[in-house]
Amino acid sequence: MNERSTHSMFEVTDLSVRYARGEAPVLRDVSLTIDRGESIALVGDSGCGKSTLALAAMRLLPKTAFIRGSIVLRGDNRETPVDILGSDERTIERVRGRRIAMVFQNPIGSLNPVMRIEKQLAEVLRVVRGTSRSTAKRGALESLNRVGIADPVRVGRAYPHELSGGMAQRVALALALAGEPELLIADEPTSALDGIVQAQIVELIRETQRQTNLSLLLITHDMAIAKALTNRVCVIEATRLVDDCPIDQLTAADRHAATARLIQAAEFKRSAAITLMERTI
Amino acid sequence: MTTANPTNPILWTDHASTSKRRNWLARSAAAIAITFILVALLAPLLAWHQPIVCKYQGQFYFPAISDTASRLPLVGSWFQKAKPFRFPSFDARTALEPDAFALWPPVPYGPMEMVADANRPASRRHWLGTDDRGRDVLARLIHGTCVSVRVGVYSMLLAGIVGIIIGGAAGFYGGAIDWMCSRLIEIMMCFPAFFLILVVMVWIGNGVTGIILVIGLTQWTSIARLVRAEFLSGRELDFVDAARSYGASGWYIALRHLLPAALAPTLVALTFGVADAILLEAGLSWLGLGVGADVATWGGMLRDAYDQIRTHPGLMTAPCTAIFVSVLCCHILGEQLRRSLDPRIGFSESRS
Repeated sequence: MNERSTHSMFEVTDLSVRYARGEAPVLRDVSLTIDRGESIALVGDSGCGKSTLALAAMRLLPKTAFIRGSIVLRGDNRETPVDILGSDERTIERVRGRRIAMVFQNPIGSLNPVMRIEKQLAEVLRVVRGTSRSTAKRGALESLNRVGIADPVRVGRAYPHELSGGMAQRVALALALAGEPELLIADEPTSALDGIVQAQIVELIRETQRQTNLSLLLITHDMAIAKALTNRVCVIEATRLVDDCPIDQLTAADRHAATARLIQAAEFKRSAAITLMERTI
Repeated sequence: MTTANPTNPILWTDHASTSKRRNWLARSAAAIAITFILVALLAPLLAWHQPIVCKYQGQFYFPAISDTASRLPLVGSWFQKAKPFRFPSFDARTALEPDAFALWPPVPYGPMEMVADANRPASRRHWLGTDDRGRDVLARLIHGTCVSVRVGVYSMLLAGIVGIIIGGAAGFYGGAIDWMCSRLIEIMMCFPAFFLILVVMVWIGNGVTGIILVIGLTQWTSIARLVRAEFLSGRELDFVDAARSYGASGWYIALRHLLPAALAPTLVALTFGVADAILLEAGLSWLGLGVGADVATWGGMLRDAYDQIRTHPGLMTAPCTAIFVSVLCCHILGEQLRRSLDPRIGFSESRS
């Protein structure tokens, strides 16, 4: 692992976070690395701190939070590394969207309810790519097309509440990918969606990765989604990173108890689904 | 997406009849408000001591029009400087020959002109009679509108700007800035506003600009509190974090995502505030601390009428009605705006 981290593009070292002085920490000494083009999953129960890690990686945690450790974005060897936690706000604003982007759990909530989709996309394009006002609208429709929306003109004119969850998540993905980031942080991107749409979104992310050499940090509690999208799984249990293993060694005998439990949960869900299917058919 | 369901006749007619009634109220209030504004803008065309068009020494002059133009907001100073048409330097009442061509405004008297005997009842020459110094009441009423509208609109514009800046800063930055802004708001609210305004008016003297500044700089607190609350709650919304994650700057988020949500309640509060400002100005003028005795105002008219309330009580009616109607108008408009802009007032509540 040490040998790998010298080439990694994104590095979290000994990250500890607490939201207020005197409160129990939400993350304790978490370290993980992501290589270029690699996809890793951060898996854990609800409340174990995985979303906090995502927010810390974007430096979106409240200013009152106490953060220790370091998060460094290296990117290519050509680029100078960015110290996410130590840099000033302007540097971070240029990193967000352009180099690290994020997809949130609640797709409709992550869109401004009173702005048309094409307008939001066009404005993000103007911010992250510097596209001119006149071409931004065309760019917006193109990026809608790229995330598999068959009817970009109609969807572009819609307001967020008029979209289905899956459609809104596609739009959110288009927004996140607008700046052609190197790393995509997906915070439970499929948890709010139903099974079929989950599969579609998973397929869309996989397809995007294939095309753009995007690194992915997937945050989920669902081992099945993790398996489908990533090649390495980091397990967080109660604020600590307890396991870090390649996807093909997940079922090895000496895995941590938390990993085993998460796999069990995924298997239970699958078998429950199969039972349900058998009963209804 | 559609609010009314035409296939359900009961639901549909019920909603339609109430909304029609409200529409009627709102429309008349809007019409009256627009009338007030037009009267204020075009006052010299309605009542002035100079004619609209006249022929003087073989040349045509447009005294009332040029006076109207040079009093317009924003473009008035341009008219004064550029003088696109001849500005008269004569007093038409004395300078014009009796048989010269002159088209007078409907009320051919200025607001400060003593044109008849004092306290004349309404007649064909003086539609609302004359006051204790023989000035035409209708002319004074029309020119009083200018002052009320100016004070109402400009002081609330000022209050809105100050309130949005201070409330926005408090809600957006939070922390120490929020603490300072909130304490400032509380300190301002603790002062009894009218007495503060009284003291300041005694200190800076009469004048419309002074009144606008004083009212604007004391009445912003409720706006600031509204904007602060909207920014505070808006800041926690998911899409604001999302916008940050796409690389939007703080300014962009404040102006593009948070401010639009705060504008609706601000607009409502400002509409109510116009009524308060009109009342405040009338109160100040009534006390003689307002615009000054050389300008006709509703409050000043009320003051003059009050001196002879026992002998000529009718003089109170005109300024009282003007104040009452304008304030009521602002309140109806504000209430209507609140109902139509507040998404939480849904179909069921709007029927009550």
